[in-house]
Amino acid sequence: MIEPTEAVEAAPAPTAHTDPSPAAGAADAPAETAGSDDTRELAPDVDEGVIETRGMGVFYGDFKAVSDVTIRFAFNEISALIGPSGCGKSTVLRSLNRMNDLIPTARVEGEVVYHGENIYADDIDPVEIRRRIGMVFQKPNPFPKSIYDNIAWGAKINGFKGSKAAMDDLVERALRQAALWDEVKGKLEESGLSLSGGQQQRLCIARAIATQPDVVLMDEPCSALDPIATLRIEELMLQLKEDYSIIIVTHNMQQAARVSDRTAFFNVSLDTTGQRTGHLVEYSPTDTLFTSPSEQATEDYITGRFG
Amino acid sequence: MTTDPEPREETRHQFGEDLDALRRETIQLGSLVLENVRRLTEALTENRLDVAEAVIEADDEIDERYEVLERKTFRLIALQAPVASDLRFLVSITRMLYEIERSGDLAVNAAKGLLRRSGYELGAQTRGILARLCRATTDIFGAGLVVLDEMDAEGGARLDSDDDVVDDLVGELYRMISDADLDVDTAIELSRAGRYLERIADHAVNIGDHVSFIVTGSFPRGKHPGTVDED
Repeated sequence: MIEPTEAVEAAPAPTAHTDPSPAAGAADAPAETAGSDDTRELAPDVDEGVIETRGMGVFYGDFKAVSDVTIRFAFNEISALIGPSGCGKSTVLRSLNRMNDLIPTARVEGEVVYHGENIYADDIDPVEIRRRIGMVFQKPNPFPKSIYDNIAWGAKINGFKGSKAAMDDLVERALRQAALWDEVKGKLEESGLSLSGGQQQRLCIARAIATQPDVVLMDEPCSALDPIATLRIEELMLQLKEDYSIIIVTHNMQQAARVSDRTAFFNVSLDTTGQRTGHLVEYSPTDTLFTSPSEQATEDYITGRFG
Repeated sequence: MTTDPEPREETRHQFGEDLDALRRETIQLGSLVLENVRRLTEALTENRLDVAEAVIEADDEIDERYEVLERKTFRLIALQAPVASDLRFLVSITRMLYEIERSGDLAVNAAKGLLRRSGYELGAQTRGILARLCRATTDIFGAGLVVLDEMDAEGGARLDSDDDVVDDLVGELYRMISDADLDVDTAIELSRAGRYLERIADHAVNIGDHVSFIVTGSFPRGKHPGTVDED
């Protein structure tokens, strides 16, 4: 078993979120910052989200990359963000765990509410946010360390202080959850970089979940993988959603259709000065979006009739 | 304040053309069946046994084309991974092909009945009702094809009420049969013919419902066409 660290104890269990804090309760009121005449984008049947944005805009310097995004992501679901290049879907994803802080000119307006708290509030520690909202990137990026250390390091950095045996357990559990254990159990001391691309990506997923997050963000996690490795990651995502809430950006619409419960479609618009800004067009249950989307722009994009 | 991005370029041009071609060929198949319903009308109302034979003969081509079109549809579903209106269209086309092909079979059944009796000895009044029933069925089947040609959701939803005319005429035909002094075999065959014509009209209504579904994403009157009784 994993020795719970203080940090881990402080993190709410993924499925035990029953009593929203006052801030989360306020989310039930229509978001006045949404800018539209309804709050449909919130997904009306998601009563309580693990994470939600309210009137969120993201700037890089003077450039407004994304405008006025109000969306609520449900617990233990896979939510997919799709849309053409430049629609801001990756920007939105990175804003959900303050990954954009690492870009000096980036600025977020509006709110990103996680377990009832605005993660951009002054007293929030972004490192703690990133521990609880993990991220998996497009290109597998294991540390140039052993398979074992790839998992153990993340846990140590995030305050794990258990025994060697406890760390062994943590590593095994993370690798099992990432459906990688059987393939690597005999070679934990080998370099993470010796694994295949698909295995490396599952190692990165194992590393992300070793810190016991409750949300895992995935930014095109399969775009560097072959079709079989891709299907294995998709299968893994379906298992992981039992314990985690997953938000994935994907260029592959069929992937969104196969794995996600809800899909958000983002599009680009031009303002009068010619600046391109992304915005949320439609956020619906995936089966609805891919059979009867409510917006013509969604229809045009998913049918691939207009590029 | 905001406008559309640059003028959008149409992509997946070939797929769009394949879908259009499939729709045209489905309408052509429907036209063959419509032609056969017209022949059936002539055969029934004028006791033309040679025309009844022609109805049966013409059905082979209908069956062959049906098979080809069904295969084309499955191929597009398998290879193009259609979604949204494309998906609704392709799934509905498989259903509409069935409605059309089945209507052709029903026309053949009615033609065979006439041949079994070597023509029907009918009074002027019964013959008149039969002629009106044949015409109403032909009209509604043709209207179904027009709805498909124009992808007219509202017209598709209206076919159901147009079908009331056919149902009323079938009722009238049954009354005439029971009142008229017909031999039993003729009465049976003629009742069957009325039933077949009624079913052809029902298939036309279903075609209209499918068109509505393709365009709007839901069936008119909240009714799925599969819920009507079988032939």
